Amino acid sequence: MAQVEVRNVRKVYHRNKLEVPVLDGLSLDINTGEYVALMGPSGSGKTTLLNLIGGIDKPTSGEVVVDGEDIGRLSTGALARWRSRNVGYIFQMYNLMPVLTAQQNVELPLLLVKGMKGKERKERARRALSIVGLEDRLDHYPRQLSGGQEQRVAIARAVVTDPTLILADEPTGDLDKKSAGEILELLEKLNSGYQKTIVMVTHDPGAAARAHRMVHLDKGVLSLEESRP
Amino acid sequence: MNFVTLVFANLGRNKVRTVLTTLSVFVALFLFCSVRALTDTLEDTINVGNESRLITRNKTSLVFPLPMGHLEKIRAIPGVRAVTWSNWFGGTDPVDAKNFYAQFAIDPTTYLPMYDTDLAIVEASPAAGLSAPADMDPKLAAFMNERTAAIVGEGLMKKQGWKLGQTIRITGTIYPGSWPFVIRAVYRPKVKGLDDLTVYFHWDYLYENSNRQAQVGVFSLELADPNRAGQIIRTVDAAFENSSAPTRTETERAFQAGFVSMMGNIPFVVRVLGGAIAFAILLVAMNTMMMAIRERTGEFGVLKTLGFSDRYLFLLVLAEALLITLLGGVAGAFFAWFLIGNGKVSLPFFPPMSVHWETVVTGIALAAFMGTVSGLVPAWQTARLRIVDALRRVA
Repeated sequence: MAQVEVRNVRKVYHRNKLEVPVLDGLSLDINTGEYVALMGPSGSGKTTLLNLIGGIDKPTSGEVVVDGEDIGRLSTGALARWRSRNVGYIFQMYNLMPVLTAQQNVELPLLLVKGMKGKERKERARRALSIVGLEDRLDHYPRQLSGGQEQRVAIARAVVTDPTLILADEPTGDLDKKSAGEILELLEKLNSGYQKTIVMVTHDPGAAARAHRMVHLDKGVLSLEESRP
Repeated sequence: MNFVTLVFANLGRNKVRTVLTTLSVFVALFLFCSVRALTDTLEDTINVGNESRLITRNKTSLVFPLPMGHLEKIRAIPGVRAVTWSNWFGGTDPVDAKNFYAQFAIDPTTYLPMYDTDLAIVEASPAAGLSAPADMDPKLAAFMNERTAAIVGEGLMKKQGWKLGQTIRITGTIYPGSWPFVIRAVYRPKVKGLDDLTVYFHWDYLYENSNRQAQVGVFSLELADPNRAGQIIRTVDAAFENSSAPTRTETERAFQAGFVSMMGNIPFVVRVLGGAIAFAILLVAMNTMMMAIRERTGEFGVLKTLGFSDRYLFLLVLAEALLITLLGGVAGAFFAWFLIGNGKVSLPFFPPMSVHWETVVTGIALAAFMGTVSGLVPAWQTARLRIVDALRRVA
């Protein structure tokens, strides 16, 4: 069953009165528990598609339905609440808050969970950090961690609210080969062990090869789909 | 971790900038409270004058004296219940000429009963077998029976480290010589705005030791009916219009206001300057807040991606701005209160300055206002920020 349904989506940006079409009538289904890699050259619309699926941008036309909810129709506030419950986002540059410790960074999304006590927030943050193998780095600040460790904290932050959908925008783009390998293993573990649906944007064919399906975009349309045997 | 932790954590992001911004607000509020203390003092001085008393001085200028011959004519004017007189001595401290305090020669038998509403005798030398006039504080017996005796304000006693019964010397400038005075009583002002830094002594002592040259600085007139002040003022001044020393009579309050205005429109100038400084610092605080927020645009994009609402981030930014200005403002206001306090600082001729609680509260409210104004624009910008635009800054 499709968890994510992208229906005939167009996305046009406006730059100084100039219309810049990024996605042009794109349709795509992603099933529950699937691991999909989005690939394509720069400017092909990969990140834009990821942003639309994650509800951090709205399509110019068409529909993006996630778990039966047409998220393009939600108000800004409702969309923010929807994101906090349903989506975990992993960025290329980790984007941790430098003034917070690893544990506090992971706790951040839990501040939005109504009625959750501080003690429970801490406990859940610790558990998420232990999943990514950083239970001994709770009180470290991002500057005290390596790139790979920072990305693992970011992954813990993405899964701490237990969302079903994980979106990763070039999660290994800023890492060395070894760290990148560890992050990809972690994503596989989240997919196979915790049944998370993962959509990952990547330029790295090696990383993409770990996904169930590779979707290629070019100039805002799907150009090729490959499924792993 | 909670909202407050986040606010404090963000303030610790750039400690130098936070400290400098807090300091700038601290200085602004310290200046605001100090300026208010100064203008309050000047206003208190204007308001200290009694509406039921008139002051008659030389029409040409306060620095010119009036002849004693005017006394009986004034006394005879209907509606004048009592008349007293005083004279500015203008002496200096023999050890440190810059150590200024006022000295007045007064006629105690008429002056002290008239100003009984303003001055309270809190300490006096014992006087065995002596007594003060019936309409006077009995504690003044020793002062009244000794020609060189003086009454000194308790603030001046404390400042100079003088003791009751001590003989002090003052170097005369208008009336040359080294003048000894024996402190026989200590007064405390009963009314706000009156200083406790003055030396009062017998006018007769001045008269007799100045080759009988001393005249009168001002006459103070107590009225039977303050509603008739206008008519009596005209009568007094008309009586001396063609004399060698024409007079100018006004209510004591008007006289005090005129005295303050001799310094120019200082309250206005000080207020304008203080306001300009506070406004300039407000702009600095606003600019700093906007810079700090602009630097964190990408981070706000991330927080919004995580699901933080526009309202949450609006409040977060506003709270940060408010906290900085309140920290600086509260510290600045209380530092002014601590430094100037209640009478620790005084200007020549004026009562000691004091930072009123109303000033401290107004200062803190002003700091909150500065925080709100400086945080409002960046908070609004943060709330309006589109996630994709914000994330582009960190990509």
